[in-house]
This record gives sequence, structure tokens and C-alpha cells, in this order.
Amino acid sequence: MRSAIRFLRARPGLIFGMAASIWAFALWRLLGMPSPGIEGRLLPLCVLLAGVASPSRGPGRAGQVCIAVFTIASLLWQVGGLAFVICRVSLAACCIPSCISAARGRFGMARALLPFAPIIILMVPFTGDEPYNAALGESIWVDGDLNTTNNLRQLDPNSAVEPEHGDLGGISHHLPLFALLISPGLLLGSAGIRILCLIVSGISGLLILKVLAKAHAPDPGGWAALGMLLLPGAGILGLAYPDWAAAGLVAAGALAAGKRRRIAVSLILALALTALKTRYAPAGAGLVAAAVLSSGRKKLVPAVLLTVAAVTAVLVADRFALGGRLFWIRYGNLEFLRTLLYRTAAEAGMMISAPFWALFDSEAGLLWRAPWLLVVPAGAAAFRRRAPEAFRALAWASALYTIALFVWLPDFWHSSPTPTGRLFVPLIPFLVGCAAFAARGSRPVLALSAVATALSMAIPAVRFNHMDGTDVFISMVARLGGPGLQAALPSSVRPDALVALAWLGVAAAAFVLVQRRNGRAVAYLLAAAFMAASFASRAMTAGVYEAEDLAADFRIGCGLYPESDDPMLRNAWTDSRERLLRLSNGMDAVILPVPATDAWGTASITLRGDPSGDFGLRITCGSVDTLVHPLAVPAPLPPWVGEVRGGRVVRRVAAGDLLEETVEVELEPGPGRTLLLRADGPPFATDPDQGIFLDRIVLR
Amino acid sequence: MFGISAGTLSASLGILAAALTFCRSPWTAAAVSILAVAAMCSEVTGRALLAFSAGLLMTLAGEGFPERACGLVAAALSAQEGSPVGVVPLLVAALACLPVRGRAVRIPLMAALAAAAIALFGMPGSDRQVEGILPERFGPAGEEWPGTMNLDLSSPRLLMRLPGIIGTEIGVVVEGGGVLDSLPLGMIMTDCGAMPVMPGRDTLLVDGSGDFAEFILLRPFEPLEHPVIHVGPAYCLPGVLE
Repeated sequence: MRSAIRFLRARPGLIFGMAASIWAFALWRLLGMPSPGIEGRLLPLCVLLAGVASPSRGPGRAGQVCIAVFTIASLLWQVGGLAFVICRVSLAACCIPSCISAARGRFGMARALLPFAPIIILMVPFTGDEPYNAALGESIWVDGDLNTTNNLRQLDPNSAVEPEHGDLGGISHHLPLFALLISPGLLLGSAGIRILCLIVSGISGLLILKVLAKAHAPDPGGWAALGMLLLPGAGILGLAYPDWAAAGLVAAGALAAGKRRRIAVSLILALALTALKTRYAPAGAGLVAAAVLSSGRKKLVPAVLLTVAAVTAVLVADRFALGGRLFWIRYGNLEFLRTLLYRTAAEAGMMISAPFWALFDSEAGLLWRAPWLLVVPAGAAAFRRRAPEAFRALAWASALYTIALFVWLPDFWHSSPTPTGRLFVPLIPFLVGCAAFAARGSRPVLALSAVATALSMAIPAVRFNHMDGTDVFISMVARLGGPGLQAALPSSVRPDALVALAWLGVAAAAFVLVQRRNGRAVAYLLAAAFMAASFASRAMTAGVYEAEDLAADFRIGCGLYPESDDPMLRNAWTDSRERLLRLSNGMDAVILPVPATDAWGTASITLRGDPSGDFGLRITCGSVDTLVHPLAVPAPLPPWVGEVRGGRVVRRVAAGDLLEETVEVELEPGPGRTLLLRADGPPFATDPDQGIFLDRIVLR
Repeated sequence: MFGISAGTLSASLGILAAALTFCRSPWTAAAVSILAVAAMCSEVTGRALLAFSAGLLMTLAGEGFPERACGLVAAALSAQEGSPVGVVPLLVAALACLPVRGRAVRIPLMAALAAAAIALFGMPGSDRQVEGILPERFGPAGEEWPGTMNLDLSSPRLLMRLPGIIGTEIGVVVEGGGVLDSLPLGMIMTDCGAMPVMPGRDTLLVDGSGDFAEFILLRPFEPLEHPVIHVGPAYCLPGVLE
């Protein structure tokens, strides 16, 4: 008996985990909260596993606060959807301190991953590139080819590989190495693939830990776990994306830095990174460059020659032995180079603005989800001083990868609709390495990052944004209250210079405070900024309706244009990436409340007209009944846009999309009434691009 | 209506901030943070809920009597506007726990009193029953409702706009469950009558000649039951329209 008591006393974390999980499970059942079979079991299980992973660490204040918040929110869950969100997030947040603590012991990375493993394996949808990677693995083992059109589709219709990926005879931007790496997991289905990917992530975390330990960073285990468990890394932790594997290879490059055969090792790592995905080739080049630079002038010429010879050998082998499947067919041909030239000229503006939006965009920006990145610059100097070789390798790899990312994918840096920020995961070894040396004063930003991570773990849907101007989580919270806070947050889809500059100022102030290690002031600053944004958004959105955001209460029928959720499949207009609300038949209508006024008012309706000219917009409000035929003016296209045949521009294209135009209607004074907008024309649009496309309605 | 005005919210925030000035415990800091988040929330119910939670958290876990009293006042302030169902018994339970010093006694006591309050007066909820609307889509083949929406105890009503054409019949896929018996979970009401929604999955035929069909989850709160109805997709049946 005494030994049992002694055993339990030495394990306060385990006792807390067991008690908290039983409490959460029982409360979930007793109070009748939704999803008792999945979330009602998995989230308490995570709390229990957190206790198992870190038995000797007590709950701490954070754990107690989380359980108290869960208890109170669970009592109020019937009041509104937000209470249920708080319940789930507080349980997930409760696990994070235990995960960090667990990472400091033996098998630290495995124990740190344990609490969230059930959620990652069972709750995160198997979407995006995941089914493709699984199909490719199956195709290699079962069919002996790279053609994925006949794989997975017959097993799970929801995991079907889309024809545009599959019908290419094995030639696509996906390479087979990662698919091979995770293919043993196929034996257990999607759960097996997730387990394999968790192991890959864990190994990468371990390599980051080794880098930090080599640099004598304070608390290497804790920081390595933070790098894994905080966003953006947490977004794809255990998911079938190659980014964590790439992060591991980059960390391995940093470990090899300063050793005798560093050039040869970095060359092998660079080739492995390129074989993982061509996008990582610049990171590999960075590792090689750092190794060459650190080897001194005497070895510089042989090193460069060795690198050129290795790359040439791979390219020759690809061209003549593999039929160009690795590189030549995809990127080495003349047509591709010409396309690259035109595209680069066309998207220069996006390339310049992409780094800003990558930090600040409310849907995909890193600072909203990972404010811990603010502490990175504060620790860079110390990291460089303590481990110059590792720092150089990571800095070169990260810098070249980032530059290439924004030049190569200026319109896909956000990675939507796959988990936000995943393309930045290969930078995590460098970012964590720097952050680990700036621990003091970083608690508030770490706490905020932990809450953001808990949100993405407890409600996996918030990871998947669609770059349509509305963040999934904010839409979820503000569903009943209109656009709300979203209007006062920066958005690359609906850019507002004033809002963007204001948040740039807030970020700059927060950055300065973090450099001064004043964490409390950062917390106050961020709270004040959010409250100011909240009040500003109410003024900004009074009488303003983004048509595509309108709930079903304000519209009858209507559809979104373009329909696809994938931003890559809806590069809608040459001058905007916004979605619009399409009115394409006689029944589609928008109904908005017009408040009572004593003076004349106006309704400004911003829209794009019907290209066929068949549809007009009928506007009705009180005695006003107007039929407007928008001008449907084609937008002038940039001069480089034309029809290309045989590698030459043979014909200029005359006109592009329709310009956006604004229709204004005067509204007479009177009591409260409704504004009705309808498409006037044929009963149904015969063309998928026909109709009236509403953008914004402003009632003044 | 369980709404909360900016004035009340500011007053609550002021009270909790004052408590934070005198007693810098992490509990008070957490409560003030929750209240600051409440100010960001554009939805009134959510805002009130957060403000109430913040006050209750401090009453439950605050270290000193003044801190706990401030928490209770803040919670009461957020609940005093309108008539939230079942919140007052929770406030009374919190008031009874206020003088108890030790957290080890106070928290179980509060839990017991809250359980008794829920057993006697039911779960706290909103008396503002906002109906969701199932979005429709028009096409040459007829009207259809391609999405799925859920009814549970926090949102027990849903409206479906009907074509309003005599002779139309609509097939609605309905799935219900989460209860320990096989009695009806809810009902569908139209201009022409009502029909029950039973546990399990079914396609119900609804007369489309009215203006609306209303789906209502009728089950009240019962411990260990999680009643839910998934509604949709729905479609006009071909060949019925004359």
C-alpha cells in the first residue's frame, strides 16, 4: 500500500492526467455535448496520454486553468457554438505543457508526440496531397509503375486521385521517394500512413534536438518539441506531406556541418532533398554552399568541381537512363523555361508582396498562428556565436529555400487548401535554433502559439483555409454576427492598405518589445490591438456586405464563382483573386435589410457584368424598381499575354476578364425595408460563366 | 436575449482589471484575457458567454475574497441583460461558494452546487432560438439543397425554404441519433402538417407547396443523451411537378 502511495506521489502528472481525463469524459457524457463518440473520447484520451507521457511533472497552473475553463465552458455549451469550441481547445491546450516536459526525458520526441497521436491519426481529414502520396506508394509496390489513375480510387471514393494528377502517366511534380518512405504504412490504411509520418516527424524532431544540443542551447528537448508541436509544424505533423522529412534532412545537414566529410554528406543530403521534392533543391544547394564556404579556399575549387560533376551526373542519368522522368520532362525543356520566363515577368508584383502576406495574411500568415516567430531574430546572434557551422548551414539552406519558394510559387506560398504554413516547415530547424537562444520574455507569445496549436489540433478544420478572404475559424465564431473582426485584419485577397499598415506597426512594436525581453508588454499590446481592431471592424462593416460571405439568411439560391475551394483552380480574374456571388437564374436573389432613414440614401453595388449580355440586375427597394444592365467592359490584358504556338507568341489576345463596376441607386427615406437584388434574364444560364457577379453592397 | 452591450462588457473588464491590479494571480490574468477575447467576438451570444465564463472562472479559482467577489460581480453583470435560461442558479451557487477559503473545498462544493442547479433547473441555454437556414440552389432540374446542417441542443431549429408550388414533393435525407430509446427525436413542420423524425437514417417526403419546412429537435436535455439530427441533402422529386 505504502509503495503504491509512494508510486503515485512521485507521479503527479499521471494522477492529474487520469483525473482530468475521467472528469472531461464524464462531463462530456453527462452534459450531452455533441460528438461524444469521437471528440468526447479522443480529447480526454489525449489528456490521459499527456499524463502518461510526462508522469513526474505536475499539472502546473496552465493545466489547472485549462481544466477549469473546460468545466465552465462545458456547463454553457448549449448557449452557443463558441462554448463548445472553448471546451475542445482547452482540453487540447491542457496537453501541450506535458508534451514539452516529456520531450526533456528519454525517448523525448516519441513521448512528446504521444498525446496528440490519436487526434492526428483519427480526426484530421485525409485530403490534399495525402491520398496522392498514398496512391503513388501503392502504385510502385502493387503495379510496379508511377501511374496512379488506378490506385486507391476503387478502395475509397473519398480518397480518389484527381485525374489532373493521375492521368499523366507518372509525370507530375510529385516524386516517388517520399511515397516509398511512407508506403509500409499502406498495410494499415490511412492510419498506418499517419503512423509512419509521425515517426518521420519524430525523427526530424530528434535531429533538431541534436542540433540544439550541439549548439548548447538552453532546454534543447523543450525547444525541439516546441518546434514540432507549435504551428506551422503542427499543421502537418503526422500527415503525408514531405515537409517534415525535408526539415529532418536540413537538420541533418546542420549536424554534418563542421565535420570532415561535410561536402560529400551535404551533397548526398541535397540529392535526397531534391528527390523528396524538387522544391527542396534550393535548400540542398544551401547546405552544399555552406559546406563549400566553410572548407576554406584550398578546397574551394575541388568542391565546386565535385558539386558540378555530381549534379551533371544526376541530370545525365535522368535524361538518358530514366527517360527524363526526374527532371528533364518536368523542368528541363525549352517550353518550360520559356513559360518560366513569361510567368516570372507576370508575377513579379506577387513575388515582391508574397513575403509580407506570408507573415500578415489573416488566412495564411505565419504571425497569426505562430507568434513565437517574433522571438527568432532576438536569438539569431547567440545561435551564430555558439554554433557558427550549424548556423551557417541552416541559414544558407533556409535563405535559398525561402527565396526560391517566393520566386517559384508566388501564388502558392500559402499552400491552401492544404494545411496553412506547411511550405515553411523546412525552415523550422533554423527558426527553432534561433528562438531557443531568446527564451527570456517569450512566454506570452509561446502561450498564444500554444493556444493556436490547440485550436488546430482540437478542430482540424481550421487548418484548411481557402484563400477566399475569410479565415475558417473567424467565420466559425462570427457566423451569426456578420463579417466582424475579419474586416480589420489584413488579407491578400481583399487588400486594405490602411489595415495592413496598422498591423505592420503592431508587429513592429511587438518585435521591439520582444527584443527587449518584455513579454508582459507584448501581451498587453496584442490584447489592445485586437480590441481596437474589434471596435474598428464594427465601424468598417456597418452597412457593408461582402456578397460572397452572405449567409443563407440574406440570399435565396445564388452560387459562388468560381465554385472550387482550391485557389489554384480558381485564379478567377487577372486583377483580383476574390470570389464573387453569382446570380444566374430568375430565382437567385439577395435580400438585405435597409434601416429606417429620414434622408435619401444610396445603395452602391460593386459587380462584374454578364459577358453574354443576357442578364441584367433588377434592384427593388420600396418604390424603387430599377433594371440595370452593367457595361461589362473587358479588362485590358498585360502585353505579354497572348497565344503561344511552337514557343512563339503568334497572336495577341484581344481582351480579358470583365472589369469590376459600381452601380449606385438612390433609396428614398422611409421606414425599415428590404433591398432585393435579382438577376433579370433567361430562366437559367446556359453557360457556366454566365450571370451577374456581385462583389460588395454598401448601404449608406 | 442573452446578449451583452459594449458598456456592460467594458464594466466587467474594468472590474476584472481592477482585481488584477490588486491580486496578480494567473487565474485573474486568465479571466481578463478571456474577457478581452470577448470584446473581439462579434457575436453577442458568444461575447456574453465569454464574459460570464471569465467571471465564473475567477469566482471559482480566485485566491483572495476581493478577487472572487470581483469575478462574481463581473459574471452577474454579463448575465443581467435579458433572461438567459439557467444561468442565475449557477450564479447563486457561485455566491454560496464565495466565502469558502480553501480551493480544495471550494471547487468540489461549487461542482456539487452546479450539478444540483442543473438537475433542478436544467442546463443553461439561450432563449433566443436562432433558426439556421438550409441553403438552396436552383438548376434546370429543379430546386435542391445540397448541404447538410446539424440540429443539437445549442441550435435546435432549422428552416428550409420551399418552392411554394402545389404538387411539388421534396425528398429530405434526415439522420438522427444520440438517444437511449427509439422515440421520435424531433419533427418537421410544414403548412400542411407535421411528421416525426425518428432515430436512424431516412429519406422523408415533404410537401413543397408551403413557404417553409421547419425542423425542430424536440428532445430536452437529459444526462447521457446527445440528441442530434443531420438534415440534408434534399431535392425536388422528378416527375411530380405538374
